[in-house]
Amino acid sequence: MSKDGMSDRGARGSRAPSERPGSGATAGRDGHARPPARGAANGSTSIAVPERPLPLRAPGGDGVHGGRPPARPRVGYLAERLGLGDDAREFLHHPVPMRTSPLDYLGFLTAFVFASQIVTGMLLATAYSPTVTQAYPSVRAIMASPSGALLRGLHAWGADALIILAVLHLLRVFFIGAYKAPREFTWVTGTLLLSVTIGFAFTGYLLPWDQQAYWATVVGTAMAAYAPVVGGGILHLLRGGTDITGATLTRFYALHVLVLPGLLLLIFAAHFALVLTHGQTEVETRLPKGYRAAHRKGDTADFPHGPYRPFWPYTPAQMTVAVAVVVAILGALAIFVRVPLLAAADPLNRAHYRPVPAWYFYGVYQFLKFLPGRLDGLGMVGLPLLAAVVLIGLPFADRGPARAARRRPFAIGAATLVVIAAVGLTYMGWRGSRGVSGTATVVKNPTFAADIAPIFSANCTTCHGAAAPSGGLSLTSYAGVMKGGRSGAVIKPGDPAGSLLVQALEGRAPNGVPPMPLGQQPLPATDIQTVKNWIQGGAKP
Amino acid sequence: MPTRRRFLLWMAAGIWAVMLAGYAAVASLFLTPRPSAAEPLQDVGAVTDFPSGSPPKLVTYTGGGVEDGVYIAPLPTGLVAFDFHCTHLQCPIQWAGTEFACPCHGSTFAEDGRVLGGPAPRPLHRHRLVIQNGRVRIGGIVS
Repeated sequence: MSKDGMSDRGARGSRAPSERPGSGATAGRDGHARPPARGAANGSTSIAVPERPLPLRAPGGDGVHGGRPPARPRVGYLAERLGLGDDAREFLHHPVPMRTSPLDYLGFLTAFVFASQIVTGMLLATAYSPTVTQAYPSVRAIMASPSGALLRGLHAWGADALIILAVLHLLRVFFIGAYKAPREFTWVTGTLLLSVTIGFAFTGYLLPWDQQAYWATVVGTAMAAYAPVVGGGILHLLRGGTDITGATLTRFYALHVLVLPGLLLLIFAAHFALVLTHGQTEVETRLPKGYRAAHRKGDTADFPHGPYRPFWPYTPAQMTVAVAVVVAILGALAIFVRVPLLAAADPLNRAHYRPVPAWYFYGVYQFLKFLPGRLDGLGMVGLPLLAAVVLIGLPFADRGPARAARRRPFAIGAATLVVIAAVGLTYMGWRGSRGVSGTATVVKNPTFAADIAPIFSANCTTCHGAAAPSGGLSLTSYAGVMKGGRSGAVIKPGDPAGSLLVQALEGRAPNGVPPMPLGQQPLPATDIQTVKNWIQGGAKP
Repeated sequence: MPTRRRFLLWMAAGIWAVMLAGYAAVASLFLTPRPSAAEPLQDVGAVTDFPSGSPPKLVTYTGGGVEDGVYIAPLPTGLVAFDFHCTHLQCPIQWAGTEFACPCHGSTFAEDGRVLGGPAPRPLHRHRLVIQNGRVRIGGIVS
C-alpha cells in the first residue's frame, strides 16, 4: 500500500476467499491493495475500518471456540435459519468509498430496468396473442386501454433504456479500466448479457406485427444471410422458412419469453456473483471533499473510517434515488410519448412502406451506405463479429495494470473514436430515415444549384444517383436532370404539369411509373411547388 | 490414474455426450424448416392472365399464414415467377414502369431479374412455377 494509503486502493467489499475477515490479507491477485478486512490487524494503514469480532461460521454460535462468543449479537430469525447472519451483516457493513458518482450505479440501473421489463412483459403476455391473425389486434386491444398503453409504453421505452444503460455501463467499465484482472470474467459475462439484451430487443421488435415490426425484421434477419457458408442456414432457422411468416412470429415469441429469459438469468447470476466476489473497482483519484487536506494536517477526526463509510444505508439510499430518476423518466415517456403502432403488417407492402431498422441498427444501416456493394457482407457480418471478438477478448489482450485513463492513451483514444463514429453514424442514419427535405418554404424564383439540387439530393439520389441510376435517370446534375431517362425527358421547361418528374412527385405519372419517392411519403407540398416554380421559370441551371 | 477409474470417467463422459447429441439432433430436426422447393403449390391465376408483352404482374397467395406475393413476368422464354424481395436486404421491390426498383438502397433489376444497379449482389430469386391445365401454380424459391 502506498504511503498515503489511498492512491492504490483496490476493490471495495471484496470477498475473495483469501480475504475473509480475519485472514489479514490486503493484496488481491491484481496486486492492488484492498481495504483491510474487518478483524484484520490494521497496522500502519491510514484507512481505518472499525474492527469487529471474528465472525463465526458455526450455526448457533458454539462449537468452533467451544463456547458462546461473548460479543456476537443476535441475528434475526430468518437470517439464522437461512444461514445468512454473518454474511449479510458483513455485506451490509462493508466499507465503500465516501465519494461516489451516479455512474457507479449504471450496472444496478440496468439490472433494475431488466426487472421492470420482466414485470411489464409478464403483464403484457397475459393479453398478447402470438399468432399472425391475432398478434396485431391483441396489441391494438392492449393500446386501447390507458393502463395497457402505459404498460406497453413502459415496456417499449424500457427496452430502449436497457440498451442505452447497458452500453453506458460497458463504456464506464471500460473507461475506468474495471475490466482488468481479476475481473475479466465479470466483463465477459457482461458482454454476453449485452448480446442477450440485443436478442431481446430484436425478437421483441417483431411481436406487435405492424409494418415497422415486420419490415425491420425482414431486413434485420436478411443481414444474417451474408455470413459465409452458414448464412443461409441461419436465416432459415431464424425465420422458420424462407420468409417472415407465422412460423417466425412463434419462434421469436418463444425466444423472447422462454429461451432468452433463461439464458439471461443464468448469465446474470454469474455476473452478479462475480460482482459480489470482486467488488467494484474504485476510481483512484476520487476522495471525499476535505479529506486530502485533513490527512495532510494529520487531523482526520472527521473521517473516522478513512475515506470510507459503510455500505448500509448510504449506497442503497443513493441507488434508490438513481432508480427513482430512471422510473420518473420512463414513466413520463410512457405517459406522454405514445409508442407508435403502425398499420398491421402487410407482407405484400401494398402501401409502399419503406423499411426502417430499429434505432440501434441505424449506425450499421448508415455504414452500409458508405460501403461498396461487394463489401456488404463485411459490414453486416464481419464488423459485428469483430466487435464481439474485440469486446470479449479485451481483458485478456489488454493486461497492463494501469486503470487511470491518462495512462492508457491508446485504448482510451481508440474507444473514444469508436464511440464518436457509432454516435455519428446513428445520428446520420436517423436523419436519413426521416427523409429530411431541402427546403421548408416555397421558393418563388428557384435556381437549380441553390434550391432544386438540395431537394433531389435529400430525397431522390439514393436511387437516381450518378452510377447506374434507376430508370436511367440521374438527378445528381443539371445535365442529368435535363437529359431524362429511359421514359424520355422528365422536364418540359415552362410546363410543370406536363413534366413527368412533377407527375411522378404528385403520384399521377402514366405508364406504370410509381409515385415518387418510391416507397416513401410524398415530398412536402412546399418542395413540389418549388420544383414547379423552377420548371415554370424555364428550368434554368 | 488406475484403469478402472479412467474407464468409469470416460464411460460417464461418453454417455453424457451421446445424450446431449441426441437432444441437439432432435432440436435441430424439429427447428429446421422444410426446403423451400418443397412448399406446396399455390394457384395464382390462369395462363391467359399473363399475355406475352405485358409488364410483370404482382400476384398474391397465402403461405405460412401470411399473404405472400410474386411477380409473374411473361418473358420470351415463358412465364417466370420472381420473388418480390430485393436480393440485397429483402426490402419489397416494385415494378417501376421499365424495371424493378427497391426503395431501401436503390437497387434496380431488369424485367428478367438481372441486376441493373445498386448494391444487390445477385439477380432476383425465382420461385418454382408450374402450369397445370391452363392454371399457373407457384411454389417456393428455387434459385
